[in-house]
Amino acid sequence: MFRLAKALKRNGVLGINARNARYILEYNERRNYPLVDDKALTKQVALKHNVAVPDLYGMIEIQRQVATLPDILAGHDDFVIKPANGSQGEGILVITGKTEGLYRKVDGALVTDEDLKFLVTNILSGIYSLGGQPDKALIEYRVKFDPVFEDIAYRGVPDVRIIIFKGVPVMAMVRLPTRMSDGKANLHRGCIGAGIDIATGYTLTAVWKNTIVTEHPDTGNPVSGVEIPQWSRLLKIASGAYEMTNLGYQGIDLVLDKERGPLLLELNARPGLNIQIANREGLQARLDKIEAYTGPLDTIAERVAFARGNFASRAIS
Amino acid sequence: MNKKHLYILCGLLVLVGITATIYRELVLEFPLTPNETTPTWRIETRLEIEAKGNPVRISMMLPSSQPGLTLYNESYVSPGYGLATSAPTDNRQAIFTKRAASGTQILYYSAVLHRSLTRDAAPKVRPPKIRPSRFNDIQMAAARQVIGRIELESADTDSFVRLLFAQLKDPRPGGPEQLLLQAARTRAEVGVKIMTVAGMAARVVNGIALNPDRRRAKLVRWVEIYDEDSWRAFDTDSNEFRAPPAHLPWWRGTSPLTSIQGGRLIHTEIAVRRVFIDSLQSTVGKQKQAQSKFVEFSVFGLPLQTQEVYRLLLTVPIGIFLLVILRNVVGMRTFGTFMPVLIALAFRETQLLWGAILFTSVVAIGLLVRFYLEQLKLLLVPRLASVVIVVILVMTVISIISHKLGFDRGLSVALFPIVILAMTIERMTVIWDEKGPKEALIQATGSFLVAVLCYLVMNLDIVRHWVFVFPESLLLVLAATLALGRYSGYRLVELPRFRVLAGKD
Repeated sequence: MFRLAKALKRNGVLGINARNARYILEYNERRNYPLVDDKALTKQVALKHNVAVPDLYGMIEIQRQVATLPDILAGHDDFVIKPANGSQGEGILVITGKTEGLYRKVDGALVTDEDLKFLVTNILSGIYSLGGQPDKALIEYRVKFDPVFEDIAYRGVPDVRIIIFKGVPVMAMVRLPTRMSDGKANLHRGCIGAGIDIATGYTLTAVWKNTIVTEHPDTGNPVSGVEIPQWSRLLKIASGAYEMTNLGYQGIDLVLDKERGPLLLELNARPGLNIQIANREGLQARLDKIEAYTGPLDTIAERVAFARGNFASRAIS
Repeated sequence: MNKKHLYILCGLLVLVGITATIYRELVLEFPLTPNETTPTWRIETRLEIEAKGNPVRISMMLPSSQPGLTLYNESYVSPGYGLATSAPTDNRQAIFTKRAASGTQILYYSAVLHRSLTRDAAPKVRPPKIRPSRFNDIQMAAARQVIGRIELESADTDSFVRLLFAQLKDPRPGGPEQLLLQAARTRAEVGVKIMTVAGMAARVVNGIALNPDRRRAKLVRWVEIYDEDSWRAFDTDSNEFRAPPAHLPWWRGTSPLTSIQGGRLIHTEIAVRRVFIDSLQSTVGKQKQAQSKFVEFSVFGLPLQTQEVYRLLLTVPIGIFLLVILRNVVGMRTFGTFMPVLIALAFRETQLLWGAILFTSVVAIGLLVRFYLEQLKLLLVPRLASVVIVVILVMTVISIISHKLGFDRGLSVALFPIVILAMTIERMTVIWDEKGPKEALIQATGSFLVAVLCYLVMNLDIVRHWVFVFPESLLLVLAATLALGRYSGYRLVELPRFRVLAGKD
């Protein structure tokens, strides 16, 4: 057991305690948290910094407004309902179409107006929010993902997660929904995580439930060596999130929309550590490198250049 | 900087905690382990009285605490009698009274006596008033004769007393001593009478020997002489200036142990038994008797019922510390941060097996109700409130049924923290819906296991003893908890999780 801990340490694997004590508590000021925890605020800040986000169709803040839900949905065939303060993808409902007054979910099942209202009511009461605080429900644009992912994503929207430290992109992965993850891009729900080489933007090996895979379990297509389109832009948007929130250590979730290009989905002040498994590399060495670096890292260009120069993949075999 | 600050704080807490604990252990003699025993005696007095339907008044001399000997846990068994004790001035007395009593009356008095190893000096007292004893004329003349002769032969009080008792012990046939010895029952009493005539302050002491086991202890008498600000004991048997070894002075003066009005004493019995009682109990009793400020300003100074609450409450930090380790070092997941500790507290009353059965059944029934409520699509707060109400009803029904079936343990279900149970049920259904029944059951089992672990640790005799007797030691727990606040090592569950990243060697 101690040998295992030692080996992990040697490979620079970051644990939850170390992440919390040395990075989140040290570099993230609590007063900046609402910017990332509240997705409505994140959207505003992103727009202020000229970063594209999925359009907000409407927002429901109090129980009385729930009755207006059909009006908000009237003009849209497809949309997403999500809690503003949700965590780990809980409480998100994706509707892909309408038929005869019913709404079709990603998996094809139909739901009624009443079901949607109940979901919104639950969101408002705060079951999905951090700490059970009363919450808001957002109704927003449903992302149509880039065709590059057509072969390697099952139903849901694949998203790109980039962790930045002091504005420097440290590590990245793309999360590919599977049948098991119910179309959701969430690693512990069984979606695939594929590491991305920061330097080149090509996917590395992929993990699926703690095992290494090379093909998508549902579609059978290879998931390694796929080029992520517009990689430079994604890195720049991620790096720019530092100016948006002033959080030293954060995770940026981006999606690639077929028509609108990269969109900022959400920010995360406590990004998960599974990204290390997807990249088969520990975070520690990269973080240490940034902390030790004394040169200028003030502009987005400088930070992205630093990342691309220093963080080429060195996967643990 | 932050880290240094934390370490200094932890260091200070440890220092204060250890110092206070050591002080309590060494100076105040609180025992380190739960079952250390100290020499202690239990004294029991049994009075048998024949009453004839008249008002009865029985007074009995009571022993009192004195240097080197502490008396506590006094109790009286006197059915139907009114009881009053006189304030501890010279002699304490218990007075039992009854309006009408007939037949054989039995009264008990018992107390626990603790002998400390430290020898305190006899307290200084003001000189008592000397009341010369009454002798008849012949006896008075004899006494003066004895005093006159001894005064010639003695140099000071010491030698006077020694000579007097030497002569009383071995009286010349036909001499004045022999005449005087007929005036009272014991040598001690005669000696005291003569000394008061000689203008000395002296008194008789009645006591019993503290032998390991004496079903019928005999009353022994010795003498105390006032000399240079304090009373000095004199053993008339050995003719030495000391109290007879291992004796309890019971009362002073020549009055009998009991005096009875309205009845006839049939039998008195004094039993002395050596007991090995909890050293803690005797230390606390002793300190309380001494009215030590440290006992007054500690948990032991509180009313008994409140003490019981703290006995329970003070183990909570231990459970919470364990929880911190299980969550941050091991990485177990539980419903609600401190829920397992509260459940563990309830287990203390229900016992583990019953606690497990009751906990599982309440949660299971609550879950069923909650799943049913899901269909009604209720708002969160009314839904939670309904679950709370259902939980209370379920608990009531369980109590009633188990009582009817004769399992009285089932009654203790009432001690479960209701709101915590309701929150657990709510969290569990949400996780059940969101992440599947497997995850929900894993977390429920995790919470339950942590609760059991907390219960086992919080219920260790040594733990319960330490936190209650040495609450300062909780400062060490606080220091350790604070230090864990900066623990940045791996959690145990992360090791298998990141196993693929361990590399080849």
